[in-house]
Amino acid sequence: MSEHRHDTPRATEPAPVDLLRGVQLSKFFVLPGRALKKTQLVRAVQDASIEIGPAETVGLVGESGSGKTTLGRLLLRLLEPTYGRVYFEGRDITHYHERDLRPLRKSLQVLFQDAAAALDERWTVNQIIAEPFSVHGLLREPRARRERIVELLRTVGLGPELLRRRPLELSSGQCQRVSIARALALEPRFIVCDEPIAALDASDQLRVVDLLRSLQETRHHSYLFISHDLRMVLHLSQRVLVMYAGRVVESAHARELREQARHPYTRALLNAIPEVDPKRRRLRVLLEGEPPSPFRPIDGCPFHPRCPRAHADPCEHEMPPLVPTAPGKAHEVACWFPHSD
Amino acid sequence: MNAPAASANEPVLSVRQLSTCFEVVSEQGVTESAALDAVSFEIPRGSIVALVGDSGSGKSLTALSILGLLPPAARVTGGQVLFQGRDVLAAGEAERRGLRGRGIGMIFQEPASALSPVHTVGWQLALALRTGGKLGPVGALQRASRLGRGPARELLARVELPEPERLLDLYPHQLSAGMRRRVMIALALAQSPALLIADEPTTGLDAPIQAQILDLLSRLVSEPRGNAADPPGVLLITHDLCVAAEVASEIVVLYSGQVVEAGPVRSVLGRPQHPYTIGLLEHIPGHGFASPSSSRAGRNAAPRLSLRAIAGAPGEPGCRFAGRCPQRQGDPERFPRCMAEGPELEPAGARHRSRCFYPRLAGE
Repeated sequence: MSEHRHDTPRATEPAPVDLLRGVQLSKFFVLPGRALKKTQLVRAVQDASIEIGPAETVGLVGESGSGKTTLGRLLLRLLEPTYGRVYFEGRDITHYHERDLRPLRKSLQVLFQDAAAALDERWTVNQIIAEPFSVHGLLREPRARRERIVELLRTVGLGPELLRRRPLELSSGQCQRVSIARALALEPRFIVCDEPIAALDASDQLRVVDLLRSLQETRHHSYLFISHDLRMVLHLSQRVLVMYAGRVVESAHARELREQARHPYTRALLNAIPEVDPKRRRLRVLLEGEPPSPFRPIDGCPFHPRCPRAHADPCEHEMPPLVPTAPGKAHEVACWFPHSD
Repeated sequence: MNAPAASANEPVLSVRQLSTCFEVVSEQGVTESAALDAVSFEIPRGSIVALVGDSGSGKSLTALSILGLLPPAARVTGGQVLFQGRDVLAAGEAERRGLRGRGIGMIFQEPASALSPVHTVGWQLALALRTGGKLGPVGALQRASRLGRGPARELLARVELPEPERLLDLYPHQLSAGMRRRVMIALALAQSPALLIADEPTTGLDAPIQAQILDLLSRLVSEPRGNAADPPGVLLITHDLCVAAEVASEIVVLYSGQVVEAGPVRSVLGRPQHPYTIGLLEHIPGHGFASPSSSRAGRNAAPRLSLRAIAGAPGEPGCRFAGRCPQRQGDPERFPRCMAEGPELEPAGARHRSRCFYPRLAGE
């Protein structure tokens, strides 16, 4: 395949403004059967489309098991999609081989939830941040490399005195900063932040989020910010996608989502945000039941067993398509009976 | 208003001037490092008191001190822990062991490690019930497990788990995260304890499930069961101020082993006095609850807690928060006392106390 030349134009050919685009991505995992158990097909992500522009932050929110992480990995091409396509700067990278992906890896980085586990505990901070340079054969001159590492540390608010420390000697906030420094080392265009603050203290959480934002203001990279914390997602993102049971059920600008969520699930998520202010605490409507199990697919709309607005027909039989709430609007919802204003 | 009987007024738990330290072995020999410094608070019957602070502030250590489950390197150096009027620190190990589970129920943070992976939910509940003598004389666990089905089913129903009969035969790994939390709560309730200690009971849960669990916790204390069981008091340990605000009636803010602010939720969160509490409130995105600086909208306006490490070492004079205090950073000259002496907890309103020489200046 001639990845580096122009493909024949197609209807799905992305507009050049998108940095990264996933088109109708699906990822199915096959769990091998054991003894009397049959093989199972887990539909981790189904039919999810996502566009991320330059210097944009797109939030991805949903309960655990909703497919957020899988979608992030599909976009990074850490996983190959079962269906659908991934475009990076207009190039179709869906079936790139690892060899062809390697130059792109510099541009595509990831932050994990458990930063301490993502760092090699036997390595010093210096070695950890130097690794990307070694892998890509950059900054071979020791002094230049050293200076760059110190500068990266300073960018994330850490001093050079940490260079000789190892992850066990750092706080969880410091570990996350070190992994941010490592992710920034190769000046990426796009960073997937997969629950980067879930393991941090309250006072560290917003500091890291603010750091991510100020880094973006100077470096103009894009984020996919994955979190189950809708509060933080709304705080950081320009646009937000809500996932449920592997599907995108609503997508809108953050402000619009906060004020005019249409999907009953999004409403339930907004409603479940704990509030400090008793006056702002709405009448809590608890979402009943359990999140769906990926092993037991649900007919129709996957949310219908928990949905206060569900009707027997068509909710229990047919998956609602993701459609704009009004013609030409960027706000999309997948619900047969969406809320109106 | 009729005052209830005096015994009903007595708090379930009263922690007075509790101090705990760690022994640190270093090249200079063994030194003691204070981890809790004169921590005091009370938990009335049927109310939820939240202990809030960052990791390392001493929240969990307070719980472990109360339970007598401190790690070997730590020991209580002073103070009293009165559980239903009895000083548990003075009690012998046998008495304290009897207290755990029976008098004080514990809801651990991580059910995956607190529940046994190789026993059914029913078996684990039966064990908890049998230990409390609820299943008559101690017999073979097999029999207890059989006899325990009824009470165990009741417990599962009490934590509002669907199909309790079926759940009894399931193993923890077959349950969802939210269901496992509920099983944990059911285990803690097995012996109708007067005090529940819930250590980060909703951390790691998705928001809808977190809301369900918090709702369950607050109804456990507000709606006691019909059969005259007193509602338990709850010590809720959390790093999330919002979680505390949702369910607790009182908040105790810990910083570096000291109570820096404490009082009724409305008062502490509505009129926070200590710069640390104010900082915590400002770290809640999109919140605008009477925070002194919330009027200064704009993301860069509010002074955030600094990124610097905490200056000084424990044991030095001065306020422990001084090194990170946002109000001092602007103009340390204006706050001469902070480095010289440690502030005391001073009244800052009705039942509201704060440990700061210059309270509330941060937001002005």
